[in-house]
Amino acid sequence: MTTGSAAGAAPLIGLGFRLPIADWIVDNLDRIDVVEITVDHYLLGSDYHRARIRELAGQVPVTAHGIGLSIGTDVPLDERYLEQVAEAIRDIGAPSYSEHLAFTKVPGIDLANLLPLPRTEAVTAGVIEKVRRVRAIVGVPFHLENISAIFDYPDSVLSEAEFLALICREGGAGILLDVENVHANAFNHGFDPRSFLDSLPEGSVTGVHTAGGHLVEEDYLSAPVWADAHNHPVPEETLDLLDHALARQNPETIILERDDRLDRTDEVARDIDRLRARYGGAFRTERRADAPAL
Amino acid sequence: MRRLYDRQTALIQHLTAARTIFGEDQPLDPRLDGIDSGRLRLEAWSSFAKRVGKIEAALPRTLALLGERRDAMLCGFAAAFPPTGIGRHENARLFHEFLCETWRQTPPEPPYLADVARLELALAGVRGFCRETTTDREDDPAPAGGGLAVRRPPGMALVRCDHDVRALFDDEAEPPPARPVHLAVRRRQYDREPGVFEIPDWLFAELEGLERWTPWTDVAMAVRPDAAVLLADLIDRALLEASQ
Repeated sequence: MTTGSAAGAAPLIGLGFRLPIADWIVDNLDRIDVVEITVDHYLLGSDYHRARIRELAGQVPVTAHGIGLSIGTDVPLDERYLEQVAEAIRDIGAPSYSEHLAFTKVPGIDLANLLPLPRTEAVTAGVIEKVRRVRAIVGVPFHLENISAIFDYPDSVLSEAEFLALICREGGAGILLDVENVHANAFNHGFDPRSFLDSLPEGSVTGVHTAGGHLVEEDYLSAPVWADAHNHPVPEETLDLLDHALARQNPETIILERDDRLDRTDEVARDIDRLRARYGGAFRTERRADAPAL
Repeated sequence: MRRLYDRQTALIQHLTAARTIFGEDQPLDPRLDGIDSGRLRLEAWSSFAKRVGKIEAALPRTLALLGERRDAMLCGFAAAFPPTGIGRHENARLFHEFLCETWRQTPPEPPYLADVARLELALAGVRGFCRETTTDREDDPAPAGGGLAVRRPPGMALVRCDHDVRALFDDEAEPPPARPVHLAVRRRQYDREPGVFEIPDWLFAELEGLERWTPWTDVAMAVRPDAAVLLADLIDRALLEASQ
């Protein structure tokens, strides 16, 4: 299991690649240490999309992040898909691969949205086996991300932190900590986000995601819900949580996720600069010369 | 663990059902007992909104031209076509299929809407095509040995329209003329955007028949007096591929 970057080394600051702002990303590589590639966008992308990704991968360190695995679906892993993922990872030279502790589909219907799992011992055991198999197929360090979940199951017995930490420890994966999802879930389910963070084993977080969402209020909801929409600047409360996490964690990367309102590159720039000012080292120009080992 | 699979199936069926998305009262599947139904409705709506976003990215003019009927069409689409993948083009293709089925019962209004949808879907498909990963022509290797062979480039789309709707894609507001046009939509491999070309109906028919490598001597246009010039022009414009 990976254990994060060397003690004392500042994390690399970056963002997720999105084709509509590809030009902006290339023009702003002086403020970006690392770019996260959504591997499914590469697998399903056009020649042009893949070319833009490869162009970036030749200029800046990249990581690979997936959305199509659905590791939690109670069916055998799609190993053909994982082999395609492994090939994509080799194509772009990513040193690691991450996915979500979630499910998105069952055979025949793909919601294409991340759903939580019942946090039971049986589900835990099943996912652990799958994590081990994923690692064997992709051949690079594998990290699992906590998702935002607006509903829960009545038979969940483990806390979300226990569930995530146990699966990653026993499966041999790192934790990709999405602090905005911790913020959202704490709001939506009424737990203390700092307790969640304190429950994660020290040094188990290998990467961080940050993002911004918004409040949803509808008359059919018994209370407002915080939606992890990746469409607004990162809230200060989320960065305060990240401060708290970093007292015990030493991630290699901190990635800004932004999926919508991409015309607001001013907001994206401000968020990256905030992250760098708060967590990053001085920009390491030596990384340009021989792109990465993260 | 079969119980988990059953619950997951029930959950996804619930979240993709039009009744859930649009908030119609319904009893919750017993396998989902104990889960907040209001939050499930929000989850369903959020997922559907993402799906509509993908369709809108691929078919913006079609959705705009639906006008007041847009929401009703999307509701009907949600009921008829559950999502099967994450891809933008795949979801747009399903929505287009739904529209065509609807228009078989009730013609589209305005009449040129079907042509806009057809061309817009073709553009989305061409835009999203990846030559590196396509496998549909693995059994059509370039012919060995001598002799020129030609074929339609993989990823090119041929679109017949009853109205020349191309100006609408340049944001012209005037209703398009009711003039049949034959269009070729193609993108050179690493171009940012596809090009749309009006071609004569005889060339359209030729290209329709050239999905696979065909000896040039077997192609009807090879006997035209201007065949050599025509061949060079079509290759230059990436409307035809040659094996040599």
